[in-house]
Amino acid sequence: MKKYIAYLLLLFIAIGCKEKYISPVVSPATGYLVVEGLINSGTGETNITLSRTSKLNSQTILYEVGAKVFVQGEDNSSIALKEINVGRFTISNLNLNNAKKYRLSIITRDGKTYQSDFSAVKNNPSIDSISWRREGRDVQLYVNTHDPNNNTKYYQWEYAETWELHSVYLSSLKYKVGTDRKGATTYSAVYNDSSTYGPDMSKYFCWKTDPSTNIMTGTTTNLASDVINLPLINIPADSWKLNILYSMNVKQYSLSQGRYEFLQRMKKNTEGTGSVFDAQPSELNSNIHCVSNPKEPVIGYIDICPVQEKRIFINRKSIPDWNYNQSCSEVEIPNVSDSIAIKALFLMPTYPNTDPMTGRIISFFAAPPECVDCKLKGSSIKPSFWP
Amino acid sequence: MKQFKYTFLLCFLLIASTQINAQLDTAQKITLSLNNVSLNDLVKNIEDQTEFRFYFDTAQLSKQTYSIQVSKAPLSQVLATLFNPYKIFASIDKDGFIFLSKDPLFYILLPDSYFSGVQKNNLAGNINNFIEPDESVNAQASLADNKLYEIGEKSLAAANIITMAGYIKDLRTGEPVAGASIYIDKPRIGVSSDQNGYYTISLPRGKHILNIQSLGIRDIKRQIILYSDGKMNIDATGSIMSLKKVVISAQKISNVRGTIMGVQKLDIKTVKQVPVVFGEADILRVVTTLPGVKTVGEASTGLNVRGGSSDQNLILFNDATIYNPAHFFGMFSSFNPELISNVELYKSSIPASFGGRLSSVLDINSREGNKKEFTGSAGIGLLTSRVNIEGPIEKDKSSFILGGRSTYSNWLFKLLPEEYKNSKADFYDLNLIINNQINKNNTLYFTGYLSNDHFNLNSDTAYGYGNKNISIKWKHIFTNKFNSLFTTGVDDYGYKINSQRLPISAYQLSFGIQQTYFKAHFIYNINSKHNIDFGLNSLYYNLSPGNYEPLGSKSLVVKDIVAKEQALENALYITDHFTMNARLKLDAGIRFSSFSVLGPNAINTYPTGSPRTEDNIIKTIQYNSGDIIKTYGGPEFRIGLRYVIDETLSLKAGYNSQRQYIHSLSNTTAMAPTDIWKLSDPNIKPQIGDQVSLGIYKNLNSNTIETSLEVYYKNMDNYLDFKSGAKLVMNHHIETDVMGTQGKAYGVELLVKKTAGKLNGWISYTWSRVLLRMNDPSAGEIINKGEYYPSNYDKPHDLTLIANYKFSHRFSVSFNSSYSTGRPITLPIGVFSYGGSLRTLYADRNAYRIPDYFRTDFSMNIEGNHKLNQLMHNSWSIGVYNLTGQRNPYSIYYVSEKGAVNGYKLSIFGAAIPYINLNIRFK
Repeated sequence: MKKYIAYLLLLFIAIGCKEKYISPVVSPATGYLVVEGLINSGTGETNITLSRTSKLNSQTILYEVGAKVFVQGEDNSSIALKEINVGRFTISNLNLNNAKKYRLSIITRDGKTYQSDFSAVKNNPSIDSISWRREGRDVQLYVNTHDPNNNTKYYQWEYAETWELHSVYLSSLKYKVGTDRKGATTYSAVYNDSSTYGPDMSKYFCWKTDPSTNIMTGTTTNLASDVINLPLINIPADSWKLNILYSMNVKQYSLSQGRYEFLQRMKKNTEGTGSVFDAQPSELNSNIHCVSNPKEPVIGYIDICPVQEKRIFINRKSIPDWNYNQSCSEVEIPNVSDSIAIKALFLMPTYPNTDPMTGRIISFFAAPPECVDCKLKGSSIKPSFWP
Repeated sequence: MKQFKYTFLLCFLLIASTQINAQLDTAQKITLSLNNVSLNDLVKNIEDQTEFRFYFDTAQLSKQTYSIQVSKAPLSQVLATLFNPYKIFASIDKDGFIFLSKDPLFYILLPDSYFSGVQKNNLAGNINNFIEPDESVNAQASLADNKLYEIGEKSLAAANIITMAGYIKDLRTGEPVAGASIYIDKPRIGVSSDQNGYYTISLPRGKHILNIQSLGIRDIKRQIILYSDGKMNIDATGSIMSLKKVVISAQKISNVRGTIMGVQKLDIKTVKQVPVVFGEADILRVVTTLPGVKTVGEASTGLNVRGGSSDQNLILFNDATIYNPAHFFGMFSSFNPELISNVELYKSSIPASFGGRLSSVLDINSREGNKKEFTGSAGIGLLTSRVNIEGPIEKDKSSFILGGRSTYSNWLFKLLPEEYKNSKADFYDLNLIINNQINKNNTLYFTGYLSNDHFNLNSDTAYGYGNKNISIKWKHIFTNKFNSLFTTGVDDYGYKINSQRLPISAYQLSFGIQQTYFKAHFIYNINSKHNIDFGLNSLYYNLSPGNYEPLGSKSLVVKDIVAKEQALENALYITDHFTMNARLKLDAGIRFSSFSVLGPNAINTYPTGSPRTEDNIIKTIQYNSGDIIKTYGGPEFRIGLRYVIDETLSLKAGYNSQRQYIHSLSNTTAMAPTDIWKLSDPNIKPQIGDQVSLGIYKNLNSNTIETSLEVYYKNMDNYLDFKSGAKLVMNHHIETDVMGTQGKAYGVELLVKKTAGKLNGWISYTWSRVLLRMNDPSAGEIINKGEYYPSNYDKPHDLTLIANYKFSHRFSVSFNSSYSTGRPITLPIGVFSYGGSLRTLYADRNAYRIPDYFRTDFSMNIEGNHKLNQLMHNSWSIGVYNLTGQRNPYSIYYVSEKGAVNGYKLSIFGAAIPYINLNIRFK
C-alpha cells in the first residue's frame, strides 16, 4: 500500500502540483518529553535519547539535559544510565534477567518522574545475513532473519552505511599567502610537505557514514513461519557509495506489538501522508507516562530485547560495471600571484610543473576543491572496522 | 489573463448579436420548381434559399411526395400551398425553426388557457405564431385544438371517477418518457409517469384538458373526454436535435407541485453540457454541483450528501447497486453517459421503496434502445473512447442498446519521470440493456453491467476492481388502476491486490461482496384522492471481507481468510399519496426493515462498558449455517407534505428516517478503491439517521425560473469512525478498531434555476455544517476531548454556477464555476526528533482547514450540420478545465525528508487543462 501511495502521489503531481505550505498553526510551546531508544538486555550498549517537542517551524532538536535515567526491575533493582552528551544517556552490558520485567524511569531536571510500563525481555534471533543483489543496474540490500521458535513476529532495523571515497586528484601543493613590499596580498603555490614533496593523503582517503533516517519495521504475523526477507535500501546505479568499498551495519530489534504499532503510526504520520488515499494522521500510543500527571502526553515506547548486529561489505570488484563518475577537470595555472588571484583562488592546487634545472614551480594544475579534498564530503579518520 | 478573458467574452457577445439581428422574414420570396419530390428534398430546397430550418418526423410525413411551381412567392404562401392539402400543420418560432406535423402536437403555440395573463405575454415574446393568410389553415388549426380523444365506451354506465392509463413514448425512437407530469388544471389532479413511461390517472368523468410535460419533450396538451376506464398512449415529440428550449426544463412546475422535497433530476443533456476534466461527460461530477452535495476533493467521486459519508449513498443503475462508481482513481464515474436517460438524486424525502442507506439515493436510469431503427454513436476523447449501438430486435416491440467504453490513458504515464513509465491503468465498462414489450400488459427489461479497473503504478503491486450487475425487471399491468413491477438481480463488487516481487512474501488479497435481491413494487390508484404504492424488498448479502493467499510456490504467505459474512435484509413498505384538497397533499410512507445476521460465523463477545480490544474478548461464539445470529429492525418513516399557495408558490415539509446495515470502512478521506465494506453484526450496530426539512418553492417568469430554499436538520447515530492506527484490511475482529460516533448536520440550500431560453443553467448556494462527536470512554478513545468536531467534508459555504448559452442551434458555450470553503484537516502542532528524522506531532482531529476552493471551467459545443438524411452526425466539444489555473489544494501534508519536516500543499489539477472530444452518431 505504501508503495502504491507514493506512486499515486507522483502520478497526480504530473498533472497537479506540489508546493511548499506555510502552516497557519501558531504552535504552542508544547515541549512534551520524547524518549527514544530501547533497552538492550544483552551485552551491547543501551542508548536513550531525551528531547522535547518543539514548534513546527523549528528545525533544531531541544535535548533534555540533566535528567536522571534508570533501568528498574520488578525486583526493585535499579541501574543508572550515564549522560554522555546533552540528552544522550548510555550504559553497556546490562545482561538483564530474561525472566524478569523491567522499565525505564526518568527524573527530569524540573523534578517530574516519567516511567514506562514494565515489560518482559523479548527474544531476538540473530540476523542470518545481509544480502544484496542487482536489480536492473541498481544494488538492492536485504535483511534476512528467521526465528526457529516462530515467536518474534515484529522487527525493527536501523542501519548505518559507511563507504570509502577517494579524491579524483592527489594534491601535493597548497597556496601560500604573503604580502609584498607594498602591502598587497600575494599568492604562490608551494609544496605541502617540503621534505618529501609527497601528496597529502589525508585529503585523498576518506570515509563517509550515514545513519538511517527512516523507521524500518517488518512483521511476519501473516507468514507461516517467522522468516524475514525484506529490502533495506536501494543504491541507485553508479552511485558514489559503491565506487570503492561499501559497508553496512544493521541493528535488529525485536518488538512488542505495541511498539510496532507506535512506530507504524509515527511512520504513517510523517512518511506516508500526502497522497489522495492516505490515511489521516493518528495519535501515538506511548507506553511512558508522567507519574504526577498521567494526562501529560509523552512520546516514546520502551521495549527490552538483546540487540543483534551484522555488518556486510560490498567491494567494487564484485560489481564490475559500476561507473561512478565525478566530473572533474584540471586547469594549468602559472605560478604567478596575479594569475592565481584571478583564476585559481576557488580551486585547489594539485601537482606542479617544475623547472627541471631549479626545481622551482613554474606552473601548477588546479581543480575544484571537491575533486581534491575528500574531507569536504567525509572524514579522513579510518573507521576501526574498516579492513 | 484577465485581458484575454474580456476579449474572449467580447467576441462571443459579437457573435451573439449578429445571430439575433438576423431577422427572419416570413414574407421572404422563394422560387421553387419541383415535381414529385420527397419532403426531405423539398425542405432542402427551401432551406437553401432561406434562413429557415425545418423539423419534422420522417416516419409520419415522408410518405407523400410534393410538386410545386412558384416564382418569388412568400414563404407563407408556399407553405400553405404545399401543406394545406395534406392537413399538415406548420409552426414557426422566432429562431426560424419550422415544425411540421400531422397531429396537433406542437404546442409551441400554446393556447390561452394554459398560462394565465401576464405569463402568456412573456411567452409571446419567445415564440411567434405563424399566422397564415389563408383562412382555411386557421380553421384547421383550431379544429385540431378542439380534437377530442374519447376514452372508454360512451354506452357504458361508469362511475364518476374514471381511471385512464397508458404509456408516454418518444414518437421518433419509441423510448419511454419517464418522469413526465400528466395533469389537469381544474380540478388540480396530477401524476407522473414511471421509469417505463407508464402513467395512470383518475379523473372525474367528463371533458378535460390533459397536460403532459417532461424533460426533453415538447409540452403536450390533449383534449379528452372520459366515458369509462380506458387507455391512451401518448406519443411525445422529442427535441430532434438540440432545440433551444429543451435543455434543462426540469419538470417546470412540478417542482412546485410535487410533494417530494430535496429531489434533483438531471437529464443527460444537462450533464453533457457541463464542462468536466478531460471532456468526458460525467454524471457524478454534475451531481456534485447540486446544492447539498459535496466531495472531499477533485479526484474523488465519493459523494457527501447533506453531511453524510460517501458510503451512505445508494447508487442504483436500473435497480442494481453499484458499490464503486469510479474509474481511474476516481477521476471518472463508471457510467457511460451515452446510455443514461436521467439521474435522480433524493436527498431528503427518500421514497419508502428505497432503503438501506442513510443519506441519499442516486437513481440512474438508462435509456431504452431505439425501437424503430439501428443507430449508434461513438465518442473519442483524450483518455477514453466509447461506442454504442442500439436498435430494434422486433420493430416497435423490443430493442437493445449495447455500449462500451475503454481507456488508453497509458500515454499519461509517458509524461511522468522515467521511473513511472512502466505504470499502467486500464478500465472499461460494458452495458447491455434489452427491453421487450410482450403485450400491452407485460414488459420485460434486462440490464447487464460490467465495469473493471486495473492498474499497476510501476510497482510490482497490481490492483484491480470491478462491478458486475445483472437485473431483470417485469412490469405487469393488472388493471388501469393497479400495476406492478418485479425485479430480481445479482450485484457483485470486488477488488484484488497482488504483489510478486519478493517470492517469499508474494500474495494476493481479495475482497468481494455479492448480493441477490428481489423487489416487488405495486401501484394502486384507489381514487383521485388516494394513490398508494407498496411492496417488499428482499436482499441477501454474501460478503468475503478478505482472502489473503500465497502467490507462487516459493511464497511463505499463510492463507488467511476472514470469515464470510451473510445476512438477509427484508423490507415492507407502503406509501399513500393523499391529495387532501387542491392545495394540500400528503405523502405518508412507512418502511419496516429487518436485518438478520446469518451463520456460519464466529462472533466475539466483549464486556459491556469497557473498550473492545483483542485482550478482553470474553468468548467467541460459533454459529452454524442457518443460524440467525442477530436481528435488527425497525420502522422508517417517510413523510412529505405540500401546500400550494398559488400556481407558482408552494411550501413543503418532510420527515424522513433511515437505517443502514452495511458500512464502508475507510480511514482515508477520499473513497479509495481498497475500502472494504462490513455488514452489521452483534458488535456493529446499524446506522440510524433521521432528517427534518422545510422548503419553499417559487417559479418565476412563466415557470422558466425556478427558485427554491430548503432547510434541514439531520441526526446520525452509530456512524463508524476508526480508532487511531486502525487496521481495516484482513482484520478478524474489526470491531476492536472502529467505534460508533454520533453526528449532526444542518444547512440551508438555495437554488435558482433558469430552465429555458438561450441562456440557461443554475446557481446553487449551500450553507451547511457536519459535526461528529465521540465521547464514550468505553470505546477506548475519546476524540477531541469528547467535543463535536467537523467531519472531513464539512465545507460550510458552497457556491456553484452553471450556465449554458446557445448562440445558434449549432454552437453553444457552457461555463461552470464553483467556490467552497476548504475542508478540515488535522495539522501538526509541533515537531520532535525520532529515528534520525524530525517528525510531526498531531493533536486535535480536523482542527484546521485547507485553503478555500475555487474553479472555473469553460466549454464550447459545436454540432455538425443537422441534415436528417446523412449517415453521420458529428459534434465537437472543446473546453478548458480549471480555466484560471487555480492551484486548489487537495491536501496539506507533512513529511520527514532528509531529517527535516516539510509541509506541502498538493493540487491535483493545478493548471488549466484543455480538452477536445469528438462525438459521432450514425445510423
